Amino acid sequence: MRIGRLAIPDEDRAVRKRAALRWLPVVVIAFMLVAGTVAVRVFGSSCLAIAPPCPFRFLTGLHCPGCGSGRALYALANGDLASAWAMNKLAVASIPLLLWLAASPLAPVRRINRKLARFVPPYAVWAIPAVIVLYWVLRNVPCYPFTLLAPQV
Amino acid sequence: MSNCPQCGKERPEGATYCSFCGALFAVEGAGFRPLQPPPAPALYELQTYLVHSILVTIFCCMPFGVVAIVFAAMATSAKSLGNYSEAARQARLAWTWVKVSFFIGLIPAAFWILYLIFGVIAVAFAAAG
Repeated sequence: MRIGRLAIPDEDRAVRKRAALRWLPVVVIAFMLVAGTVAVRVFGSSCLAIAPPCPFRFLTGLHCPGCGSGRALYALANGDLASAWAMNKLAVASIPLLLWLAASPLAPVRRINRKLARFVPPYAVWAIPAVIVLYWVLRNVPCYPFTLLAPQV
Repeated sequence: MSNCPQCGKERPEGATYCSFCGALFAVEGAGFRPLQPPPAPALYELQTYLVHSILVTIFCCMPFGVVAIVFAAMATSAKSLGNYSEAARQARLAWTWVKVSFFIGLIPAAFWILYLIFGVIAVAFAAAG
């Protein structure tokens, strides 16, 4: 709000807007998950045929850390955890962590996180980019134990 | 006794506006709220975009997402050390890179959809004649 040269912060409106916006991503992602599951149930494997290919794989021929995550989500939508695990192990393994991190503003989760913070050092979060980059490199190594990390077609 | 910040003329004690140029003064308790930025939210409310950057990297297949994860990790570790301004600064960068990798990811997807549409049209023409 602005009167002449005097700017008055409209605090109440900003606070209300922030509270409403906080739940927008949750609603959007929940809608996408439900819509995706319904589409997979209705149209079956033709959903995979129209999914865009990974641009990184298209340009370089290498796997990116996300290659196979689409097929993994397709398998999960069909309740097939084993196939999902074969397609992208990191994507499947990250889902519980992502759910926990997404829930961390909620009071009970925050209480547990505060207790955990005594044992987890602040730089522990660097394990996430380290694991992703390591996974990116290792799943492109073309010999036996590492080929398990690439999508198992 | 002070001076008007706009025209520099004398400003009488308790005046709410300048009688020379009409500029409003910020006066506490004179019907106007004091000029202050809105209060900063609590530290735990600070969004570090860690989830967004992981999602955009692993589930949107965008290598730029790694940049977002690095900034989000910096924001998260600054947040757990209680450094609000540093955490907020890194979180803004993380959000920028989440948006960059998301929208760059949309470009190949748009080309792919065009390719599908033209493919369907070509198949339809071939079938027709």
